[in-house]
Amino acid sequence: MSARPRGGAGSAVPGSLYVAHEKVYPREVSGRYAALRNLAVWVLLGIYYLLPWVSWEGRQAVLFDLPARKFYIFGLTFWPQDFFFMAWLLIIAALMLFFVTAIAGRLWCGYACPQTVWTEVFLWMERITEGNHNRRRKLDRGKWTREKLLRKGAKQFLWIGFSLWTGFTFVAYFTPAAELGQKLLSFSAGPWENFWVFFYGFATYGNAGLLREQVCKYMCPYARFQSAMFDKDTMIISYDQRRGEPRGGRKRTADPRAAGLGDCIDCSMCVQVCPTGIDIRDGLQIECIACAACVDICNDVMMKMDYPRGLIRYSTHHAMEEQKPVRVLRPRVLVYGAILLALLAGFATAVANRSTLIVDVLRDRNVMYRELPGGLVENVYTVTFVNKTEVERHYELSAHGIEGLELSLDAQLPLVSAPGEIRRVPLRMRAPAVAVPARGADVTLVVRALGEVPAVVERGARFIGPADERGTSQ
Amino acid sequence: MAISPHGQRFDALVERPRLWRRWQRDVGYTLWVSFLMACAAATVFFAMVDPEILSGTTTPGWEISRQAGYAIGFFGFWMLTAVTATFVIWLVRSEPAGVAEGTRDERRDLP
Repeated sequence: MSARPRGGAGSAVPGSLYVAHEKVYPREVSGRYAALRNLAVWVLLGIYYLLPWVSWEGRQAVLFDLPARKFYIFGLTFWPQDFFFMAWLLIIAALMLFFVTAIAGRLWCGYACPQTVWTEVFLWMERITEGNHNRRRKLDRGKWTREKLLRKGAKQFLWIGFSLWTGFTFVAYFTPAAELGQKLLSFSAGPWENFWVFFYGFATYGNAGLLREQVCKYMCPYARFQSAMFDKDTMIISYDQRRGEPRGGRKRTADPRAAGLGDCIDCSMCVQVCPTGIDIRDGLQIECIACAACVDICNDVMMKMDYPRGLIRYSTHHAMEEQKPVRVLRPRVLVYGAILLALLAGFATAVANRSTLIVDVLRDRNVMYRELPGGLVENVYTVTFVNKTEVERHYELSAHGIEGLELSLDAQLPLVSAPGEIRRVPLRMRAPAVAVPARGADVTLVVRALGEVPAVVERGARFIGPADERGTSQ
Repeated sequence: MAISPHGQRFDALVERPRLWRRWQRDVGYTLWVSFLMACAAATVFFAMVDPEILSGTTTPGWEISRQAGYAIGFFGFWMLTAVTATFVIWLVRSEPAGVAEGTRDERRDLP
């Protein structure tokens, strides 16, 4: 191990095809899967960068207003009390990952993971400033000339600018984008806003610009347990050994069968394009992030050789090893799918029917009860109304549980709460002493919210009266 | 010119990224895992606790805004989880030989 080169020019490990190098210059690829990934990059990053600029009913459509502790997602408003929905959503996301991985392996890694998506953009910026992989290698090894300075400078300019914009967009999900933009331009943003812009920007730069696939290889937990979700019918990127071997070079015109060769011409292109530096012909490896670059490049080579495409392709273990057809619908997939559907349906129902009104009834702790003239007993409560809607509401209160129970409010009527207001109101309940059992009684407070979004909430409370001969049950 | 294990000649060797050294892996594992856990912890914690109310009742003398509270909470969690991760990695790495049964290295030596 001590013979391993310490970066720089690098030297060959004896007997190996590879040279360990501080920096890899993966060959550029184009093709079906590269196009798919580009599409994913545009769609996902498009959503990320544009969403903070979309308005909905006069405010930012998606805004996680941390200072106000409210979360707006289009027409919905969530409160910290709705945290349960987020947990539910995370469970759905995890199961979705299981489901997709069981069907087609690490699609997430290849097309949707932020690490992949941002790395792709950083690679693109590197390519337009420093050129293709060969020119980049030459540039890195060459002397510091004016051109090198300009090219490197341009790359850093793009990288840093894009990172900062990414950081800005991240913070814009928490502070309205337009407001944040003005604040930053006039240097009047709060210290934390500035800090998070730089922090997230720095993380983007480090992860997508510098670390790249090393994150997948060393730090990603998913890479370590994904194989537990695979079975022999999972579509994975596979090298068709039966067709490819024995591999070897040949003239384009030569008949491989006559020469005793398989279809693999051993051009090493699949290794050259691999961002994690593995040889897919050795079989599935933990480092493979399913980017399908080897599929694209090998198809190119096969076309040039006039061989059929698909020497490296998405296929299953069963199809490759046992010549069985690809089977997508199988118990594992159906079970994952069924659970996923049930969770999604439950989530949609729960969000649609979630309470828009929280009512809390708290007994006054200092006074058990009070006797009033006229044979009445009074209990005092504090009622908290949380109006979770974006419209004004007023409330009608009633109570039952004891005969002759009456309510009295100190607050001015009608009882109104503003959009999103949390309002605490003292409430007195009165009942004739003769109607109150000795141990007290459970009463129910009914709150009817009127307005654009009506709601009815019932809350139980304890009503206590004197435990002596004045009570009926004595 | 290099020669592949299959006898094919290449005009250039294929580059593959240099493997991370142990300290690099340790730093990577520690920071990343603790970061993920700190995100989760901060989210759950602040879904239930309002930092303004928390600072109002525990440190009434300091003026800590909600935004500062979130940041302090997040980095506090991160520090805690990072220290834990460091400790764990150190314990695992410094396992004396002969103490551990069934470790990875031992299994690799089996036929």
